[in-house]
Amino acid sequence: MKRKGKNHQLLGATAIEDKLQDGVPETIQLLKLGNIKVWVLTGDKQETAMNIGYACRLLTDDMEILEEKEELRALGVSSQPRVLSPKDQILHTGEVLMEKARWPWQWLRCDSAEASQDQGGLVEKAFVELASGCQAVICCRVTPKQKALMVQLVKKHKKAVTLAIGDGANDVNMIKTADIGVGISGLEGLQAVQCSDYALAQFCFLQRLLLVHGRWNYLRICKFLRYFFYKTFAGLLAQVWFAFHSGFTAQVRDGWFLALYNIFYTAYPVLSVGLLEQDVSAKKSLEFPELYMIGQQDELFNYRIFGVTLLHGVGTSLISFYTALWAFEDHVGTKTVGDYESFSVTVAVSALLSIVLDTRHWTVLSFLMVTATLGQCPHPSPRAKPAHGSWEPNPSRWSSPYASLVSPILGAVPSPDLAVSLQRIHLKASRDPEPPVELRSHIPRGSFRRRSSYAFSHQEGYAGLITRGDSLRSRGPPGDSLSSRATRGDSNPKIPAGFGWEGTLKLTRSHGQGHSTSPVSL
Amino acid sequence: MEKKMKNKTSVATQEGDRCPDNSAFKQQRLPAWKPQLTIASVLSSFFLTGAFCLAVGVCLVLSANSVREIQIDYSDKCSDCSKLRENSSNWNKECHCSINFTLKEDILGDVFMYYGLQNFYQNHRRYMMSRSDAQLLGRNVNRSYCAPFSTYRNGTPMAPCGAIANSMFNDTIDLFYNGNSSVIQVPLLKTGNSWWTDKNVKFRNPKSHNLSSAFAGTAHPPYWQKPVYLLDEEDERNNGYVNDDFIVWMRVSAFATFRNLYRRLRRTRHFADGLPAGNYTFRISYNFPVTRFKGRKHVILSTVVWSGGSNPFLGIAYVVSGAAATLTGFVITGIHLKLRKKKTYFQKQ
Repeated sequence: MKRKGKNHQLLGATAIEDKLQDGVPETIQLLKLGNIKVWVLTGDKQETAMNIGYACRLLTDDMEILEEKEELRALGVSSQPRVLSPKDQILHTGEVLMEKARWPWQWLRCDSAEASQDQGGLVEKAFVELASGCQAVICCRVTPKQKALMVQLVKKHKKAVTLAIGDGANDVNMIKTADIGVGISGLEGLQAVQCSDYALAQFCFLQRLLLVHGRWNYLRICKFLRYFFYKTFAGLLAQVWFAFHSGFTAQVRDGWFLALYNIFYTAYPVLSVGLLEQDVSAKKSLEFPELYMIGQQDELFNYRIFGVTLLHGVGTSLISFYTALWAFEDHVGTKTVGDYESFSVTVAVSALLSIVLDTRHWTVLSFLMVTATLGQCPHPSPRAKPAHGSWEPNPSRWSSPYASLVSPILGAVPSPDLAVSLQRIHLKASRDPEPPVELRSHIPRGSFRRRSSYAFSHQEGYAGLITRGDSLRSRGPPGDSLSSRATRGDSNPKIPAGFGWEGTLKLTRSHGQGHSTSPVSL
Repeated sequence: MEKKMKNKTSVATQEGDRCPDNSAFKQQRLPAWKPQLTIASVLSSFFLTGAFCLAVGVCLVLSANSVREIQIDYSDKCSDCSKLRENSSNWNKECHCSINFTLKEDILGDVFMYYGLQNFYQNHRRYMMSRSDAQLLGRNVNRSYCAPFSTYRNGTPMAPCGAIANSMFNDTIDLFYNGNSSVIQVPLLKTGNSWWTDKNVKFRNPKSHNLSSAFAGTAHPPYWQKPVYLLDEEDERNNGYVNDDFIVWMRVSAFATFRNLYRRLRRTRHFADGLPAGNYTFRISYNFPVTRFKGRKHVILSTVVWSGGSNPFLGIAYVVSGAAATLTGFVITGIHLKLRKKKTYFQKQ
């Protein structure tokens, strides 16, 4: 029913706000410092996505925005029908963009239509490389299926671990596709949580999940693996060396030792390491997100470290065995079982000492485990008491400690995670007094500073009505915009001067109708 | 964020507690000690370890050098007996051998006599399995592991069975002291050479009113000359399975060159303080053949010290490690002093 709007009294206005959760900007900052690229895939429209990007500090004012036209040009798709070595173009473009003074930060906004039209692996690869060269990527108007496709694209073309975090049913696809899926349980229901690997209550818990627990677990698993390989080599290669001296026949005597070696003699301390080890506290992990890069670069367990561990284990076994052999030369008559016992004690204690040297975080449990293991070791020679007093002294009393001490100490020297952690923390400590380097443009773009978390959703015409004003200006090449902003003479950037929607407005205009109004149905 | 977490906890508690406990263990907040590798702790540990190893090594070397040991290879010296024993049909012929040696100084203290074998692999698996511990406890059991040394062809079981028992060392070694006018046999102790647990727990004779009837129906192993209940006719407690020489032999050695305790000096009369200086003679009844497997036999007289025997290897190893640790400590000190100036340079900035 049409009414002429006369004699109406404005009673009020309501607004619906979908606020960002607390702690999101800080979390994203930390993740970026930890060398984690953050992409946003949202079904919202473009202005909303951009606003959200600014609100959560994924984008900053001094970033250069690559929008559709530049992307397509960079990918060489729209201007020429042939896709001739887009990789070269990307590299060239990337370099050129990187070299532009003081604008090394870019963000990329890609539209859904383009995302779905990528044809051919080369264009995909070019796109992924372009996107990876950017600091942040925001994809808007993305359907759930396209979210999953984006994740797949990254997995296919980049050798990286992907994590997808979302809270709604439309995120289920991407959560299932990514390597790690994190669901946020919240007001939108529990579908995301049910299909995820990890469920969080808030987005800001992601920083603890990754930077604290993820990092600790990587450290723990690497230490555990290294230690297990080491003690297996150390303990069991000694049997091989013994075979050289026993006619290459197997031995039956220490069957119990072999069976219980992995269960009792060497299991407990490594359990406590695998459960409780921390190299830095949780607080410091969050203060120094750069420590996360250790895991990304495979620094705590790789081929080199495995080789070193192997060599250390072989060396330990050699030292243990040959010390026992040469110390007992000519003296092994009635001391035979004493030999086996002291020998097995030697090996077990050297394995224990090695994990003791490797443990950096000593809790009560760790002490208990070490004590329990020591208590289980068979003692060298209490049984060796003959009928008439102890006249037969036991050299194993001295050979066991010797062999047990020497090999772990020798092996602790090339201990990798010690070196790595020290190096990182030293780097961080030296970096800390300086403020983080941020390249800012000298000319303040004041209007962007007061970006709000709100987005308008209304029809095309009203946007123009509301936002017309001195903020309406054409957006040309960057040089022009610079000069135009300079002439604007905005000395106090904090004073709001209308809503700064230059970029989006331009795009809205250039793309005509309906871009931001009707819901996208593809 | 803490407040939010607490609120969440309280909310969840109301709704049916799905939150993990807020205990120190489950939240990984256990109090912990983190050893810090400061320069003081590292250097002190290196120097302390070095000092300890050096001290222990020096003590071990000194004590090993203080051991008096005489070792004589008598399979060479008794070559005619060796040749006789190469032919196994000579098993019932006796062969005696005498070896002379001279002690220039007295050996004071307890003296032990060992026999040593070389190139005899008691650690071969089939050999080591070839025994029956249950039989040695005095029970009448199945002796399947002892094959082929378990029963004779006519069905008589062997006591003791197995290859280890069968190959028992059966040389007899006596020591004589050529005194001023006469030749004195040095008194030696036959018992007390084995482990208490072996003698009293692991080895038992079968029960019967007398020892020979306890072993009735069995026969001695093929390489033996006497049955097991005649191993020591003078001492009933050293006869049968609990004979010390037998027990010592049944404790097989881990390596191919070994020595077993044979006799101890009985410190009485002339030998109350030990072995006086002078001329001595070993009289050996040579039974154990070693030439077929290129083995050697030794007889060893030795004193003992707290650290073992005359093998200086462990002492030398400790000394080397102690020196290496101390050297490394000095190297680290040097590096630290050199780099310390650089550090203050940075700190000034």
